[in-house]
Amino acid sequence: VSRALDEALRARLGARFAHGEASPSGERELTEVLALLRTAGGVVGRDVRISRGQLTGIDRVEPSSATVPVEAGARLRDVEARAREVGLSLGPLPPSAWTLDVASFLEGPFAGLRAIPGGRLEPIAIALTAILPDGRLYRSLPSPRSAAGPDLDAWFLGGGAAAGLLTGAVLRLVPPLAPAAPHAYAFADAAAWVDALAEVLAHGVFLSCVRSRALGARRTVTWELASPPETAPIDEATLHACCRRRGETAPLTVGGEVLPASAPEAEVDWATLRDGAGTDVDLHRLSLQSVWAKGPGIVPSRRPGAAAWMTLHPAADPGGLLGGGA
Amino acid sequence: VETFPANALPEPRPVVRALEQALAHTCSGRVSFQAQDRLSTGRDMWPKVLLWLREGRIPPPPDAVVWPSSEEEVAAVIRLARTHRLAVVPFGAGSGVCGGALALHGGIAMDLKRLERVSPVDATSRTVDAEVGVLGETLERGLARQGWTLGHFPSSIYMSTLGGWLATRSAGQLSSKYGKIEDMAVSVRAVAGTGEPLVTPERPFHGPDLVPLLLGSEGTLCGFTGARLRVHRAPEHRAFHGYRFKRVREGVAAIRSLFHAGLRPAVVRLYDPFDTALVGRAKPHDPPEPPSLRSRWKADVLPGFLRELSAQTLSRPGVLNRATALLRQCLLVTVFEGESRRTQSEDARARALCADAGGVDLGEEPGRHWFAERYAVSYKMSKVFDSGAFADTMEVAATWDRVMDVYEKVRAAAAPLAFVLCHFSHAYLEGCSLYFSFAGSGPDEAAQQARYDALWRAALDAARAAGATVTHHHGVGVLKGEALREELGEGASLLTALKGALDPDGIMNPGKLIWARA
Repeated sequence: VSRALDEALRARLGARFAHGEASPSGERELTEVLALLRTAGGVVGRDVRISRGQLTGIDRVEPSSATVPVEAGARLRDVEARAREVGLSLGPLPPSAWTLDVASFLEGPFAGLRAIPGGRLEPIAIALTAILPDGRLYRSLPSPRSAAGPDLDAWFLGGGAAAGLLTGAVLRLVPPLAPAAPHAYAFADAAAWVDALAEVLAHGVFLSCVRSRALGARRTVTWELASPPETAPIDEATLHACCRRRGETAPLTVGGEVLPASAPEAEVDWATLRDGAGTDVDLHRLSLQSVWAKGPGIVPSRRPGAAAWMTLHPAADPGGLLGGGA
Repeated sequence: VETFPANALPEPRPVVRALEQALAHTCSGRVSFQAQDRLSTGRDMWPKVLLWLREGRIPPPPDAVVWPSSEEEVAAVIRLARTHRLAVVPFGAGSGVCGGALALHGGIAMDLKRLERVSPVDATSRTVDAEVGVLGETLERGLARQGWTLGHFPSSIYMSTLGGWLATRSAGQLSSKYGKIEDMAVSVRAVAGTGEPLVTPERPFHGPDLVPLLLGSEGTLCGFTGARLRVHRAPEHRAFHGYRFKRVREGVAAIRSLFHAGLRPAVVRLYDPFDTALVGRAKPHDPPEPPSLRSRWKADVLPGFLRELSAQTLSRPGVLNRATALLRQCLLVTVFEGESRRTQSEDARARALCADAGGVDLGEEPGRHWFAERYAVSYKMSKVFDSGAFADTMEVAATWDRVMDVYEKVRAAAAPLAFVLCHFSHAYLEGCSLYFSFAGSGPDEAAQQARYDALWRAALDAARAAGATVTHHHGVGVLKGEALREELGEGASLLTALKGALDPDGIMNPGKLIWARA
């Protein structure tokens, strides 16, 4: 199978097939690659790796809707640069996300989620395009919300390309953020700052990062707002009120040490956060459901996926072409 | 959809009758083959059903009705139905407006209102566990007693259930702040068409989030049994406001500017000129008048006169729609709620932004009035039906760059067939919902139904052509099945895959979503 497949892929892609990796240049070519795999009885991952590294297009930013169509291989940092040109942004993402391409951010552990005010998470993609295992094209409609049946984009977010291969997305942007103005507060114990954080999020304050460090027996916590200029003063006032109920203002210079790059990071739930709140930690993608945490004491709290998913993903790929998201 | 004479309800099929004992066993004896139970669970508030009823016909009823009171009983009903290849139609309170509850293939209507337990609020996680049969108003009152709110206030709150909200991806009037029901559901419990229970995990977890794949399935994949929902502290304060704009476009731009500035009003509603004229005309309820010639005229004679007048007027909608060009005012209502200082600050900022966009500040009263009357509109449509005409609403959604195009194209497409009003609400950073109200008439019932069907075809085609999704929060049911299939295109195969995995025998609410008959 492999030899015949290799020859077919080389004939079709030329130099864009090398060392077992196919790099199709567009949706049509990706569809053809999958067709060749199907014909040869091949499996993605096992017989050939598929790169979307050629799909790096970034379309025009639509400023009124704050959206931008991108291809799956575009780097998030390049998308951000394009958005900044028109005064918009992808918003505050965890630092490690900025090295990823769109497909990896959407299909991988980040599941394409970002935090929004109100302590909620929402998909950063308002619409997706993908090639399904049978060669069909999946294209969802860009809409702020919908009730048009189940949200089928969910097949792909965090799905590890088990249901199809993303080729593009329309990403949501956010208004320009005010210059970061960190605020620091000292808390007597770990529980106090975690409670303050939950209250701040519940009040709708939009945070890009929260850093907790030891300050003697206490914790000093630095808060970075992600507010547009219009609402930054409102968010600052709310943050101050919530923190002063449980702690006191601290100098910004205390506890600003940078965590080692090798420190583990993971999405954790609030129970795990409370357990580890006594250690140094940086928090991103802050929501009332979970936070993205980085620190020496971080232990991933991922639960097994729903048993139903094990039933569902073969339904989307009955021939096993995508190898379960290999 | 096959309809039947209202006075000749078809008998339950023998194959279902034969299961009476087995059905009774699954639901502790709560099974009925009575006509009134089958009639009341075999329909919803789809206006087309109201047209049929006026004509003396009814939609196909279920053969039997059951009232499970636990997830185990729900699973037992579905397993029994699967064994005998019978349709199961989950039923909440019947407030749907797209025919999603019609028992197109007979079978078993599964009324879930006995699943109504609600846990106390967990203040640490800010969540509440609720079963799906609880009515919206009951749920919200229970939360309010504890100092919390779900923030979900659909117009149907007195007559809709949590299960219905989950099944249709419902939105409440405060969705701009609290989101739609999919933003509130932390996890859900359901029983699939296989009879297997499903519990979606809470974040974090491996793999995709199953909640979005189940919500909006309208009973075609599973029957929901419960959900864990995000709740919020009850608001300390509400700030109301109204603004007048000369043109729809200016009002739309004002809404967009609020969201691009990072403000999060709980409510923004912009009424187009004729909707503004109707909303502006509405007044708080008049006190009852003592008996007199004048009060008798108002109570007995005037309604009949207006009925005749409106039926005649609505049969020539083109004239009426052209007349709206003479109107030049759009009302924007905003409501902010939450912590006092924050609410006041955001309201103040909104006033400045609306002024920049050309809005005239009308003070608090329009907002307060809207809030006081916010559920009343749901009950006004019956007057149109009483007059012999018909009314319906279509809520679509689009990104901001397409909103005005959707507005103009749908108006143009629908104007020859019905009188058209629209308001813009449920706004987000990327766009908003457009809520069209239609009123039409015809010389007889058959003509009215033909016009009703033509109106929906024209309006949905226009909305789709302009780039809107075919529904923001009413769902699909029978009404929008064809439009959904067109919207999904080849991607419909993923919905078919879901159906194959969760309901391989096709027993769950057959004939809805993309499986609706053309």
